[in-house]
Amino acid sequence: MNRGTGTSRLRRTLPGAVAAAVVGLLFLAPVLWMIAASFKPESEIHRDVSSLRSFLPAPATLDNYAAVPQRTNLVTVLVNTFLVVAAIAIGGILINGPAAYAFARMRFPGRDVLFLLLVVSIILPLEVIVIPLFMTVAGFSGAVDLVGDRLFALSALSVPFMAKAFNIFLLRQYFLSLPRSLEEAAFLDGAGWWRVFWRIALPNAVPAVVTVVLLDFVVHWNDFLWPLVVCTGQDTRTVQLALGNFFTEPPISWGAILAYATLATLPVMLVFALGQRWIVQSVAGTGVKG
Amino acid sequence: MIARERLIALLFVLPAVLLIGLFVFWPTVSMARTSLHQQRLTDAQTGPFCGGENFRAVWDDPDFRTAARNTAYFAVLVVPLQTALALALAVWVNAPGRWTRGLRLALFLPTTLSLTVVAVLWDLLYEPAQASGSGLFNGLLGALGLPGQPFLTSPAQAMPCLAAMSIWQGVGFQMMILLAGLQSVSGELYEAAALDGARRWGRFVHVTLPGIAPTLALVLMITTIFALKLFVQPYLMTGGGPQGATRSVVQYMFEAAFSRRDLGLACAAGVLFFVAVAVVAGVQRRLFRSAEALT
Repeated sequence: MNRGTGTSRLRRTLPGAVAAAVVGLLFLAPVLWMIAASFKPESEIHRDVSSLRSFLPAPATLDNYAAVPQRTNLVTVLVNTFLVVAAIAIGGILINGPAAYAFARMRFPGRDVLFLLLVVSIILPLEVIVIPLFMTVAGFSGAVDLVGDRLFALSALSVPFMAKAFNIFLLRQYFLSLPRSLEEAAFLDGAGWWRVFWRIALPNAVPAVVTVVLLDFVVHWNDFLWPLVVCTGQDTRTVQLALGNFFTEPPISWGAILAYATLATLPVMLVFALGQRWIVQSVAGTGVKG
Repeated sequence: MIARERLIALLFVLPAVLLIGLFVFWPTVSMARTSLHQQRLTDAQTGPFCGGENFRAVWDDPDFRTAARNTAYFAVLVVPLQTALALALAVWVNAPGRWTRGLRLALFLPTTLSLTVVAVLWDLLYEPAQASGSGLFNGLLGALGLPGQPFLTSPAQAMPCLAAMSIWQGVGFQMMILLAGLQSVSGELYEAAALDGARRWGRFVHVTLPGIAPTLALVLMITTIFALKLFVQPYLMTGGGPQGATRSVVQYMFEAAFSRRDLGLACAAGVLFFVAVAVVAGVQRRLFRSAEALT
Protein backbone atom coordinates (compact mmCIF):
# COMPACT_ATOMS: atom_id res chain seq x y z
CA MET A 1 0.00 0.00 0.00
CA ASN A 2 1.23 3.44 -0.90
CA ARG A 3 0.34 5.58 2.12
CA GLY A 4 1.72 8.87 0.85
CA THR A 5 2.81 11.81 2.97
CA GLY A 6 0.86 13.26 5.89
CA THR A 7 -0.80 16.14 4.06
CA SER A 8 -1.89 14.17 1.02
CA ARG A 9 -3.34 11.49 3.28
CA LEU A 10 -5.27 14.12 5.16
CA ARG A 11 -6.49 15.59 1.89
CA ARG A 12 -7.71 12.15 0.85
CA THR A 13 -9.49 11.24 4.08
CA LEU A 14 -10.85 14.68 5.02
CA PRO A 15 -13.86 14.78 2.64
CA GLY A 16 -14.96 11.35 3.88
CA ALA A 17 -14.60 12.39 7.49
CA VAL A 18 -16.56 15.61 6.94
CA ALA A 19 -19.34 13.78 5.09
CA ALA A 20 -19.48 11.19 7.89
CA ALA A 21 -19.71 13.91 10.55
CA VAL A 22 -22.51 15.71 8.67
CA VAL A 23 -24.58 12.56 8.09
CA GLY A 24 -23.96 11.34 11.65
CA LEU A 25 -25.07 14.65 13.14
CA LEU A 26 -28.17 14.80 10.92
CA PHE A 27 -29.10 11.32 12.13
CA LEU A 28 -28.55 12.23 15.76
CA ALA A 29 -30.30 15.61 15.45
CA PRO A 30 -33.76 14.47 16.64
CA VAL A 31 -32.24 12.76 19.71
CA LEU A 32 -29.97 15.73 20.48
CA TRP A 33 -32.95 18.07 20.15
CA MET A 34 -35.01 15.88 22.50
CA ILE A 35 -32.32 16.00 25.18
CA ALA A 36 -31.85 19.77 24.75
CA ALA A 37 -35.59 20.46 24.83
CA SER A 38 -36.05 18.36 27.96
CA PHE A 39 -34.01 21.03 29.81
CA LYS A 40 -36.01 23.98 28.42
CA PRO A 41 -38.87 25.78 30.13
CA GLU A 42 -42.21 24.78 28.55
CA SER A 43 -42.66 28.15 26.82
CA GLU A 44 -39.25 27.89 25.08
CA ILE A 45 -39.75 24.48 23.44
CA HIS A 46 -41.56 25.87 20.39
CA ARG A 47 -39.35 28.96 20.19
CA ASP A 48 -36.57 29.43 17.61
CA VAL A 49 -37.37 26.20 15.76
CA SER A 50 -36.04 27.67 12.55
CA SER A 51 -32.55 28.25 13.90
CA LEU A 52 -29.73 26.20 15.41
CA ARG A 53 -30.37 27.92 18.74
CA SER A 54 -33.22 25.45 19.11
CA PHE A 55 -30.58 22.81 19.95
CA LEU A 56 -29.24 24.80 22.91
CA PRO A 57 -31.08 24.61 26.22
CA ALA A 58 -30.63 28.24 27.24
CA PRO A 59 -32.02 29.14 29.71
CA ALA A 60 -31.70 25.61 31.14
CA THR A 61 -33.93 24.25 33.87
CA LEU A 62 -34.48 20.96 35.70
CA ASP A 63 -38.19 21.70 36.23
CA ASN A 64 -39.26 19.12 33.63
CA TYR A 65 -37.37 16.34 35.38
CA ALA A 66 -38.82 17.43 38.72
CA ALA A 67 -42.32 17.33 37.20
CA VAL A 68 -42.05 13.71 36.02
CA PRO A 69 -42.60 12.03 39.42
CA GLN A 70 -45.54 14.38 40.07
CA ARG A 71 -47.28 13.37 36.85
CA THR A 72 -46.77 9.63 37.14
CA ASN A 73 -45.98 7.01 39.79
CA LEU A 74 -42.44 6.87 38.42
CA VAL A 75 -40.91 4.64 41.09
CA THR A 76 -43.63 1.97 40.82
CA VAL A 77 -43.39 2.06 37.04
CA LEU A 78 -39.59 1.67 37.07
CA VAL A 79 -39.71 -1.13 39.66
CA ASN A 80 -42.36 -2.96 37.59
CA THR A 81 -40.32 -2.73 34.41
CA PHE A 82 -37.08 -3.82 36.09
CA LEU A 83 -38.83 -6.78 37.72
CA VAL A 84 -40.40 -7.87 34.43
CA VAL A 85 -37.19 -7.52 32.42
CA ALA A 86 -35.09 -9.26 35.10
CA ALA A 87 -37.57 -12.13 35.36
CA ILE A 88 -37.52 -12.61 31.58
CA ALA A 89 -33.71 -12.49 31.41
CA ILE A 90 -33.02 -14.78 34.40
CA GLY A 91 -35.88 -17.18 33.64
CA GLY A 92 -34.72 -17.14 30.04
CA ILE A 93 -31.22 -18.36 30.89
CA LEU A 94 -32.56 -21.08 33.23
CA ILE A 95 -35.01 -22.33 30.59
CA ASN A 96 -33.33 -21.64 27.23
CA GLY A 97 -29.77 -22.49 28.34
CA PRO A 98 -30.31 -26.20 29.10
CA ALA A 99 -32.58 -26.58 26.06
CA ALA A 100 -29.98 -25.04 23.75
CA TYR A 101 -27.28 -27.26 25.25
CA ALA A 102 -29.38 -30.41 24.75
CA PHE A 103 -30.04 -29.44 21.10
CA ALA A 104 -26.30 -28.84 20.58
CA ARG A 105 -24.76 -31.84 22.33
CA MET A 106 -27.23 -34.55 23.30
CA ARG A 107 -29.06 -37.23 21.35
CA PHE A 108 -32.74 -37.85 21.96
CA PRO A 109 -35.76 -38.94 19.94
CA GLY A 110 -37.52 -36.16 18.02
CA ARG A 111 -34.64 -33.72 18.42
CA ASP A 112 -34.44 -32.55 14.81
CA VAL A 113 -38.20 -32.21 14.34
CA LEU A 114 -38.52 -30.26 17.58
CA PHE A 115 -35.67 -27.96 16.63
CA LEU A 116 -37.16 -27.32 13.19
CA LEU A 117 -40.49 -26.37 14.79
CA LEU A 118 -38.69 -23.92 17.10
CA VAL A 119 -36.78 -22.32 14.23
CA VAL A 120 -39.97 -21.90 12.20
CA SER A 121 -41.67 -20.17 15.14
CA ILE A 122 -38.90 -17.50 15.29
CA ILE A 123 -40.48 -15.78 12.33
CA LEU A 124 -43.91 -15.39 13.98
CA PRO A 125 -44.22 -11.86 15.41
CA LEU A 126 -46.03 -11.23 18.70
CA GLU A 127 -48.43 -8.91 16.83
CA VAL A 128 -49.92 -11.84 14.89
CA ILE A 129 -50.89 -13.82 17.98
CA VAL A 130 -51.40 -10.96 20.45
CA ILE A 131 -55.18 -11.46 20.73
CA PRO A 132 -55.15 -15.28 21.26
CA LEU A 133 -52.15 -14.88 23.60
CA PHE A 134 -54.27 -12.46 25.62
CA MET A 135 -57.03 -15.12 25.66
CA THR A 136 -54.53 -17.77 26.83
CA VAL A 137 -53.26 -15.55 29.65
CA ALA A 138 -56.81 -14.56 30.59
CA GLY A 139 -57.51 -18.28 30.98
CA PHE A 140 -55.22 -18.21 34.01
CA SER A 141 -57.03 -15.28 35.62
CA GLY A 142 -58.40 -17.58 38.31
CA ALA A 143 -54.93 -17.29 39.81
CA VAL A 144 -55.58 -13.61 40.64
CA ASP A 145 -57.36 -14.63 43.85
CA LEU A 146 -54.30 -16.64 44.77
CA VAL A 147 -51.47 -14.20 44.05
CA GLY A 148 -53.14 -10.79 43.86
CA ASP A 149 -53.56 -8.36 40.96
CA ARG A 150 -50.06 -6.95 40.85
CA LEU A 151 -48.17 -10.24 40.92
CA PHE A 152 -50.56 -11.67 38.33
CA ALA A 153 -50.01 -8.71 36.01
CA LEU A 154 -46.23 -8.85 36.40
CA SER A 155 -46.31 -12.60 35.67
CA ALA A 156 -48.51 -12.03 32.63
CA LEU A 157 -45.91 -9.50 31.42
CA SER A 158 -42.93 -11.83 31.91
CA VAL A 159 -43.71 -15.57 31.90
CA PRO A 160 -44.90 -15.80 28.25
CA PHE A 161 -41.54 -14.41 27.06
CA MET A 162 -39.08 -16.45 29.13
CA ALA A 163 -38.79 -19.36 26.71
CA LYS A 164 -37.75 -17.94 23.34
CA ALA A 165 -36.93 -19.89 20.19
CA PHE A 166 -34.50 -17.27 18.89
CA ASN A 167 -32.48 -17.33 22.12
CA ILE A 168 -32.33 -21.14 22.06
CA PHE A 169 -31.11 -20.92 18.46
CA LEU A 170 -28.42 -18.35 19.28
CA LEU A 171 -27.16 -20.22 22.36
CA ARG A 172 -27.16 -23.55 20.49
CA GLN A 173 -25.05 -22.11 17.68
CA TYR A 174 -22.56 -20.86 20.24
CA PHE A 175 -22.42 -24.20 22.10
CA LEU A 176 -21.78 -25.93 18.77
CA SER A 177 -18.81 -23.64 18.14
CA LEU A 178 -17.12 -24.58 21.46
CA PRO A 179 -14.43 -27.30 21.36
CA ARG A 180 -15.71 -30.58 22.82
CA SER A 181 -12.42 -31.37 24.58
CA LEU A 182 -13.21 -29.36 27.74
CA GLU A 183 -16.52 -31.12 28.26
CA GLU A 184 -14.99 -34.53 27.52
CA ALA A 185 -12.31 -33.97 30.17
CA ALA A 186 -15.03 -33.17 32.71
CA PHE A 187 -16.97 -36.33 31.78
CA LEU A 188 -13.80 -38.39 32.32
CA ASP A 189 -13.56 -36.83 35.78
CA GLY A 190 -16.99 -38.30 36.46
CA ALA A 191 -19.14 -35.17 36.05
CA GLY A 192 -22.73 -35.60 34.81
CA TRP A 193 -24.56 -33.62 32.09
CA TRP A 194 -26.04 -31.10 34.51
CA ARG A 195 -22.68 -30.35 36.06
CA VAL A 196 -20.90 -30.13 32.71
CA PHE A 197 -23.56 -27.72 31.45
CA TRP A 198 -23.34 -25.36 34.45
CA ARG A 199 -19.63 -25.59 35.16
CA ILE A 200 -18.10 -25.93 31.69
CA ALA A 201 -20.46 -25.10 28.81
CA LEU A 202 -22.34 -22.08 30.17
CA PRO A 203 -19.28 -20.23 31.57
CA ASN A 204 -17.60 -20.68 28.19
CA ALA A 205 -20.60 -19.23 26.37
CA VAL A 206 -20.59 -15.87 28.21
CA PRO A 207 -20.67 -13.71 25.05
CA ALA A 208 -23.79 -15.49 23.81
CA VAL A 209 -25.41 -15.40 27.26
CA VAL A 210 -24.74 -11.67 27.59
CA THR A 211 -26.11 -11.05 24.09
CA VAL A 212 -29.33 -12.91 24.84
CA VAL A 213 -29.79 -11.05 28.14
CA LEU A 214 -29.15 -7.67 26.48
CA LEU A 215 -31.54 -8.35 23.62
CA ASP A 216 -34.24 -9.44 26.08
CA PHE A 217 -33.63 -6.32 28.13
CA VAL A 218 -33.94 -3.97 25.16
CA VAL A 219 -36.95 -5.69 23.57
CA HIS A 220 -39.01 -5.89 26.74
CA TRP A 221 -37.95 -2.56 28.22
CA ASN A 222 -39.12 -0.98 24.97
CA ASP A 223 -42.30 -3.02 24.48
CA PHE A 224 -45.59 -1.12 24.33
CA LEU A 225 -48.18 -3.43 22.74
CA TRP A 226 -48.20 -6.28 25.27
CA PRO A 227 -48.32 -4.01 28.37
CA LEU A 228 -51.12 -2.10 26.62
CA VAL A 229 -53.07 -5.36 26.28
CA VAL A 230 -52.53 -6.84 29.76
CA CYS A 231 -52.03 -3.87 32.14
CA THR A 232 -55.28 -2.48 33.42
CA GLY A 233 -54.27 -0.83 36.70
CA GLN A 234 -52.14 2.26 37.37
CA ASP A 235 -49.77 0.29 39.62
CA THR A 236 -48.94 -2.42 37.07
CA ARG A 237 -47.88 -0.15 34.21
CA THR A 238 -44.44 -0.37 32.59
CA VAL A 239 -42.20 2.49 31.48
CA GLN A 240 -43.38 2.66 27.85
CA LEU A 241 -47.06 2.34 28.76
CA ALA A 242 -46.76 5.16 31.29
CA LEU A 243 -45.03 7.29 28.65
CA GLY A 244 -47.86 6.56 26.22
CA ASN A 245 -50.46 7.57 28.82
CA PHE A 246 -48.45 10.64 29.68
CA PHE A 247 -48.57 11.63 26.01
CA THR A 248 -52.29 10.99 25.42
CA GLU A 249 -53.83 12.20 28.68
CA PRO A 250 -54.27 15.95 29.07
CA PRO A 251 -52.89 18.32 30.22
CA ILE A 252 -50.04 17.85 27.74
CA SER A 253 -46.78 19.26 29.05
CA TRP A 254 -44.09 18.72 26.43
CA GLY A 255 -41.16 19.47 28.71
CA ALA A 256 -42.09 16.72 31.15
CA ILE A 257 -42.88 14.29 28.32
CA LEU A 258 -39.47 14.85 26.74
CA ALA A 259 -37.76 14.55 30.13
CA TYR A 260 -39.54 11.25 30.70
CA ALA A 261 -38.68 10.03 27.18
CA THR A 262 -35.02 10.85 27.83
CA LEU A 263 -35.09 9.01 31.17
CA ALA A 264 -36.78 5.98 29.55
CA THR A 265 -34.05 5.82 26.90
CA LEU A 266 -30.99 6.10 29.18
CA PRO A 267 -30.96 2.49 30.52
CA VAL A 268 -31.10 1.04 27.00
CA MET A 269 -28.26 3.23 25.72
CA LEU A 270 -26.23 2.30 28.79
CA VAL A 271 -26.85 -1.39 28.19
CA PHE A 272 -25.78 -1.09 24.55
CA ALA A 273 -22.67 0.89 25.44
CA LEU A 274 -21.65 -1.77 27.98
CA GLY A 275 -22.59 -4.78 25.87
CA GLN A 276 -21.47 -3.83 22.36
CA ARG A 277 -18.22 -5.84 22.54
CA TRP A 278 -20.03 -9.02 23.66
CA ILE A 279 -22.70 -8.77 20.99
CA VAL A 280 -20.16 -8.50 18.18
CA GLN A 281 -18.17 -11.43 19.62
CA SER A 282 -21.17 -13.71 19.93
CA VAL A 283 -22.56 -12.90 16.49
CA ALA A 284 -19.13 -13.70 15.05
CA GLY A 285 -19.07 -16.92 17.09
CA THR A 286 -22.45 -18.20 15.96
CA GLY A 287 -21.81 -17.69 12.28
CA VAL A 288 -25.17 -15.91 12.05
CA LYS A 289 -23.44 -13.35 9.85
CA GLY A 290 -23.32 -13.64 6.09
CA MET B 1 -26.11 -44.93 29.43
CA ILE B 2 -27.90 -43.95 26.21
CA ALA B 3 -31.30 -44.26 27.92
CA ARG B 4 -30.05 -42.01 30.70
CA GLU B 5 -28.80 -39.42 28.19
CA ARG B 6 -32.22 -39.41 26.53
CA LEU B 7 -33.98 -38.88 29.82
CA ILE B 8 -31.70 -36.02 30.87
CA ALA B 9 -32.00 -34.42 27.42
CA LEU B 10 -35.78 -34.49 27.68
CA LEU B 11 -35.58 -32.82 31.10
CA PHE B 12 -33.30 -30.16 29.60
CA VAL B 13 -35.68 -29.26 26.77
CA LEU B 14 -38.99 -29.86 28.54
CA PRO B 15 -39.47 -26.43 30.25
CA ALA B 16 -38.70 -24.54 27.05
CA VAL B 17 -40.88 -26.78 24.91
CA LEU B 18 -43.81 -26.58 27.32
CA LEU B 19 -43.66 -22.77 27.59
CA ILE B 20 -43.23 -22.17 23.85
CA GLY B 21 -46.01 -24.67 23.23
CA LEU B 22 -48.31 -22.86 25.64
CA PHE B 23 -47.48 -19.28 24.65
CA VAL B 24 -46.72 -19.56 20.91
CA PHE B 25 -48.18 -22.73 19.38
CA TRP B 26 -51.35 -22.97 21.47
CA PRO B 27 -52.38 -19.34 20.80
CA THR B 28 -51.79 -19.91 17.08
CA VAL B 29 -54.04 -22.99 17.10
CA SER B 30 -56.66 -21.34 19.29
CA MET B 31 -56.67 -18.29 16.97
CA ALA B 32 -57.57 -20.56 14.04
CA ARG B 33 -60.27 -22.24 16.14
CA THR B 34 -61.77 -18.99 17.45
CA SER B 35 -61.82 -17.52 13.94
CA LEU B 36 -64.42 -20.17 13.02
CA HIS B 37 -66.61 -19.56 16.09
CA GLN B 38 -68.68 -16.78 17.59
CA GLN B 39 -67.01 -15.43 20.71
CA ARG B 40 -67.42 -12.13 22.55
CA LEU B 41 -64.70 -10.66 24.77
CA THR B 42 -66.87 -11.27 27.81
CA ASP B 43 -67.60 -14.93 26.98
CA ALA B 44 -65.74 -17.44 29.12
CA GLN B 45 -66.31 -20.19 26.54
CA THR B 46 -66.10 -20.39 22.78
CA GLY B 47 -69.53 -19.83 21.23
CA PRO B 48 -71.21 -21.79 18.42
CA PHE B 49 -69.38 -22.77 15.24
CA CYS B 50 -70.10 -20.27 12.47
CA GLY B 51 -67.96 -21.45 9.55
CA GLY B 52 -66.48 -18.66 7.44
CA GLU B 53 -68.83 -15.99 8.79
CA ASN B 54 -66.09 -14.08 10.66
CA PHE B 55 -63.88 -14.12 7.58
CA ARG B 56 -66.73 -12.82 5.43
CA ALA B 57 -67.38 -10.08 7.99
CA VAL B 58 -63.71 -9.06 7.99
CA TRP B 59 -63.46 -9.13 4.24
CA ASP B 60 -66.64 -7.08 3.74
CA ASP B 61 -65.63 -4.57 6.42
CA PRO B 62 -64.50 -1.34 4.71
CA ASP B 63 -62.42 -0.60 7.84
CA PHE B 64 -60.43 -3.79 7.31
CA ARG B 65 -59.89 -3.08 3.63
CA THR B 66 -58.63 0.40 4.47
CA ALA B 67 -56.36 -1.06 7.17
CA ALA B 68 -54.96 -3.69 4.81
CA ARG B 69 -54.40 -1.10 2.09
CA ASN B 70 -52.70 1.29 4.55
CA THR B 71 -50.41 -1.42 5.91
CA ALA B 72 -49.44 -2.51 2.38
CA TYR B 73 -48.79 1.14 1.44
CA PHE B 74 -46.55 1.55 4.49
CA ALA B 75 -44.60 -1.61 3.54
CA VAL B 76 -44.26 -0.49 -0.08
CA LEU B 77 -42.85 2.86 1.10
CA VAL B 78 -40.55 1.47 3.79
CA VAL B 79 -39.11 -1.80 2.48
CA PRO B 80 -37.37 -0.67 -0.76
CA LEU B 81 -36.25 2.71 0.58
CA GLN B 82 -34.97 1.41 3.89
CA THR B 83 -33.16 -1.57 2.34
CA ALA B 84 -31.51 0.55 -0.38
CA LEU B 85 -30.46 3.18 2.16
CA ALA B 86 -29.16 0.51 4.56
CA LEU B 87 -27.12 -1.06 1.76
CA ALA B 88 -25.65 2.27 0.68
CA LEU B 89 -24.75 3.13 4.28
CA ALA B 90 -23.29 -0.33 4.92
CA VAL B 91 -21.03 -0.03 1.86
CA TRP B 92 -20.00 3.43 3.04
CA VAL B 93 -19.18 2.51 6.65
CA ASN B 94 -17.43 -0.68 5.48
CA ALA B 95 -14.57 1.53 4.23
CA PRO B 96 -11.50 1.58 6.46
CA GLY B 97 -10.90 4.70 8.52
CA ARG B 98 -11.44 6.04 11.99
CA TRP B 99 -14.55 8.07 11.25
CA THR B 100 -16.54 5.02 10.13
CA ARG B 101 -16.79 3.63 13.66
CA GLY B 102 -18.37 6.83 14.99
CA LEU B 103 -20.72 6.97 12.02
CA ARG B 104 -21.83 3.36 12.62
CA LEU B 105 -22.71 4.23 16.22
CA ALA B 106 -24.61 7.36 15.18
CA LEU B 107 -26.64 5.44 12.60
CA PHE B 108 -27.35 2.60 15.03
CA LEU B 109 -28.39 4.79 17.97
CA PRO B 110 -32.01 5.43 16.87
CA THR B 111 -32.69 1.67 16.85
CA THR B 112 -32.17 1.61 20.62
CA LEU B 113 -35.05 4.06 21.14
CA SER B 114 -38.44 2.55 21.86
CA LEU B 115 -41.25 3.06 19.34
CA THR B 116 -43.05 4.96 22.09
CA VAL B 117 -40.21 7.46 22.53
CA VAL B 118 -39.83 7.86 18.76
CA ALA B 119 -43.56 8.40 18.30
CA VAL B 120 -43.75 11.01 21.07
CA LEU B 121 -40.65 12.85 19.85
CA TRP B 122 -41.52 12.90 16.14
CA ASP B 123 -45.10 13.92 16.87
CA LEU B 124 -43.60 17.12 18.26
CA LEU B 125 -41.12 17.46 15.38
CA TYR B 126 -43.95 17.13 12.83
CA GLU B 127 -46.21 19.75 14.49
CA PRO B 128 -47.78 22.11 11.98
CA ALA B 129 -47.54 25.87 12.44
CA GLN B 130 -49.86 27.25 15.12
CA ALA B 131 -50.04 30.18 17.50
CA SER B 132 -47.47 28.77 19.95
CA GLY B 133 -44.96 28.08 17.16
CA SER B 134 -44.32 24.93 15.13
CA GLY B 135 -42.35 21.71 15.09
CA LEU B 136 -38.71 21.50 14.10
CA PHE B 137 -39.39 20.30 10.54
CA ASN B 138 -41.71 23.19 9.75
CA GLY B 139 -39.15 25.47 11.38
CA LEU B 140 -36.54 24.08 9.00
CA LEU B 141 -38.84 24.56 5.98
CA GLY B 142 -39.42 28.13 7.12
CA ALA B 143 -35.69 28.77 7.40
CA LEU B 144 -35.26 27.52 3.82
CA GLY B 145 -38.07 29.81 2.66
CA LEU B 146 -40.41 26.90 1.86
CA PRO B 147 -44.12 26.78 2.72
CA GLY B 148 -45.13 24.98 5.92
CA GLN B 149 -46.63 21.49 5.66
CA PRO B 150 -49.53 19.88 7.55
CA PHE B 151 -47.61 16.55 7.89
CA LEU B 152 -49.54 14.23 10.25
CA THR B 153 -52.73 16.27 10.00
CA SER B 154 -53.08 15.61 6.27
CA PRO B 155 -54.52 12.28 5.05
CA ALA B 156 -52.12 12.31 2.10
CA GLN B 157 -48.96 13.13 4.07
CA ALA B 158 -49.54 11.19 7.29
CA MET B 159 -48.46 7.74 6.09
CA PRO B 160 -45.32 8.93 4.24
CA CYS B 161 -44.43 10.84 7.43
CA LEU B 162 -44.73 7.65 9.51
CA ALA B 163 -42.66 5.81 6.88
CA ALA B 164 -39.88 8.42 6.95
CA MET B 165 -39.76 8.24 10.74
CA SER B 166 -39.64 4.44 10.72
CA ILE B 167 -36.84 4.41 8.16
CA TRP B 168 -34.84 6.78 10.34
CA GLN B 169 -35.32 4.54 13.32
CA GLY B 170 -34.77 1.17 11.66
CA VAL B 171 -32.13 1.70 8.98
CA GLY B 172 -29.18 1.29 11.38
CA PHE B 173 -30.26 -2.23 12.31
CA GLN B 174 -30.45 -3.38 8.68
CA MET B 175 -27.14 -1.63 8.01
CA MET B 176 -25.43 -3.66 10.75
CA ILE B 177 -26.69 -6.99 9.36
CA LEU B 178 -25.64 -6.01 5.83
CA LEU B 179 -22.26 -4.85 7.15
CA ALA B 180 -21.63 -8.31 8.62
CA GLY B 181 -22.56 -9.74 5.20
CA LEU B 182 -20.18 -7.36 3.39
CA GLN B 183 -17.33 -8.27 5.70
CA SER B 184 -17.72 -11.94 4.90
CA VAL B 185 -17.24 -11.37 1.14
CA SER B 186 -13.73 -12.58 0.32
CA GLY B 187 -11.19 -9.86 -0.50
CA GLU B 188 -9.66 -12.11 -3.17
CA LEU B 189 -12.78 -11.75 -5.30
CA TYR B 190 -12.35 -7.96 -5.28
CA GLU B 191 -8.69 -8.28 -6.23
CA ALA B 192 -9.56 -10.63 -9.08
CA ALA B 193 -12.22 -8.21 -10.28
CA ALA B 194 -9.75 -5.32 -10.06
CA LEU B 195 -7.26 -7.32 -12.15
CA ASP B 196 -9.98 -7.82 -14.73
CA GLY B 197 -10.25 -4.06 -14.86
CA ALA B 198 -13.66 -3.79 -13.16
CA ARG B 199 -14.54 -0.28 -11.97
CA ARG B 200 -16.25 0.56 -8.71
CA TRP B 201 -19.78 0.06 -10.00
CA GLY B 202 -18.74 -3.12 -11.81
CA ARG B 203 -17.22 -4.55 -8.61
CA PHE B 204 -20.40 -3.69 -6.70
CA VAL B 205 -22.67 -5.38 -9.24
CA HIS B 206 -20.51 -8.45 -9.96
CA VAL B 207 -18.81 -9.11 -6.61
CA THR B 208 -20.62 -7.35 -3.75
CA LEU B 209 -24.22 -8.00 -4.71
CA PRO B 210 -23.87 -11.75 -5.39
CA GLY B 211 -21.72 -12.06 -2.26
CA ILE B 212 -24.33 -10.56 0.04
CA ALA B 213 -27.42 -11.86 -1.79
CA PRO B 214 -28.42 -14.28 1.02
CA THR B 215 -28.01 -11.53 3.64
CA LEU B 216 -29.99 -9.14 1.46
CA ALA B 217 -32.82 -11.68 1.15
CA LEU B 218 -32.86 -12.06 4.96
CA VAL B 219 -32.92 -8.29 5.46
CA LEU B 220 -35.77 -7.92 2.96
CA MET B 221 -37.85 -10.46 4.87
CA ILE B 222 -37.17 -8.96 8.30
CA THR B 223 -37.97 -5.46 7.03
CA THR B 224 -41.19 -6.58 5.36
CA ILE B 225 -42.46 -8.39 8.47
CA PHE B 226 -41.48 -5.40 10.64
CA ALA B 227 -43.45 -3.13 8.30
CA LEU B 228 -46.54 -5.37 8.41
CA LYS B 229 -46.50 -5.15 12.25
CA LEU B 230 -47.15 -1.39 12.09
CA PHE B 231 -49.13 -0.34 15.17
CA VAL B 232 -47.51 1.80 17.88
CA GLN B 233 -46.67 4.79 15.67
CA PRO B 234 -50.18 5.42 14.27
CA TYR B 235 -51.85 4.32 17.53
CA LEU B 236 -50.04 7.06 19.47
CA MET B 237 -49.50 9.76 16.84
CA THR B 238 -52.64 9.81 14.71
CA GLY B 239 -55.00 7.32 16.35
CA GLY B 240 -55.31 5.78 12.88
CA GLY B 241 -56.40 9.05 11.30
CA PRO B 242 -56.76 11.53 9.77
CA GLN B 243 -59.83 9.99 8.15
CA GLY B 244 -58.51 6.45 8.71
CA ALA B 245 -55.46 7.12 6.54
CA THR B 246 -53.04 5.43 8.95
CA ARG B 247 -55.20 2.73 10.58
CA SER B 248 -53.18 -0.52 10.37
CA VAL B 249 -54.14 -4.21 10.40
CA VAL B 250 -52.84 -4.68 13.96
CA GLN B 251 -54.90 -1.70 15.12
CA TYR B 252 -57.95 -3.23 13.42
CA MET B 253 -57.36 -6.49 15.32
CA PHE B 254 -56.85 -4.59 18.57
CA GLU B 255 -60.07 -2.60 18.11
CA ALA B 256 -62.04 -5.65 16.97
CA ALA B 257 -61.07 -7.40 20.22
CA PHE B 258 -61.22 -4.57 22.75
CA SER B 259 -63.57 -1.91 21.31
CA ARG B 260 -66.02 -4.06 19.37
CA ARG B 261 -65.40 -6.93 21.83
CA ASP B 262 -65.60 -9.51 19.04
CA LEU B 263 -62.84 -12.11 19.49
CA GLY B 264 -64.05 -14.17 16.51
CA LEU B 265 -63.63 -11.16 14.22
CA ALA B 266 -60.23 -10.25 15.72
CA CYS B 267 -58.98 -13.85 15.29
CA ALA B 268 -60.21 -14.02 11.69
CA ALA B 269 -58.20 -10.86 10.95
CA GLY B 270 -55.29 -12.48 12.82
CA VAL B 271 -55.45 -15.57 10.63
CA LEU B 272 -55.29 -13.39 7.49
CA PHE B 273 -52.31 -11.54 9.01
CA PHE B 274 -50.68 -14.92 9.78
CA VAL B 275 -51.10 -15.98 6.14
CA ALA B 276 -49.51 -12.72 4.95
CA VAL B 277 -46.46 -13.29 7.18
CA ALA B 278 -46.19 -16.93 6.03
CA VAL B 279 -46.30 -15.82 2.38
CA VAL B 280 -43.53 -13.27 2.98
CA ALA B 281 -41.42 -15.93 4.71
CA GLY B 282 -42.10 -18.42 1.89
CA VAL B 283 -41.13 -15.91 -0.80
CA GLN B 284 -37.98 -15.11 1.17
CA ARG B 285 -37.05 -18.82 1.23
CA ARG B 286 -37.39 -18.94 -2.54
CA LEU B 287 -35.29 -15.77 -2.86
CA PHE B 288 -32.74 -17.19 -0.45
CA ARG B 289 -32.39 -20.38 -2.47
CA SER B 290 -31.94 -18.59 -5.78
CA ALA B 291 -29.53 -16.19 -4.05
CA GLU B 292 -27.46 -19.13 -2.81
CA ALA B 293 -27.49 -20.59 -6.31
CA LEU B 294 -25.98 -17.32 -7.52
CA THR B 295 -22.91 -17.54 -5.31
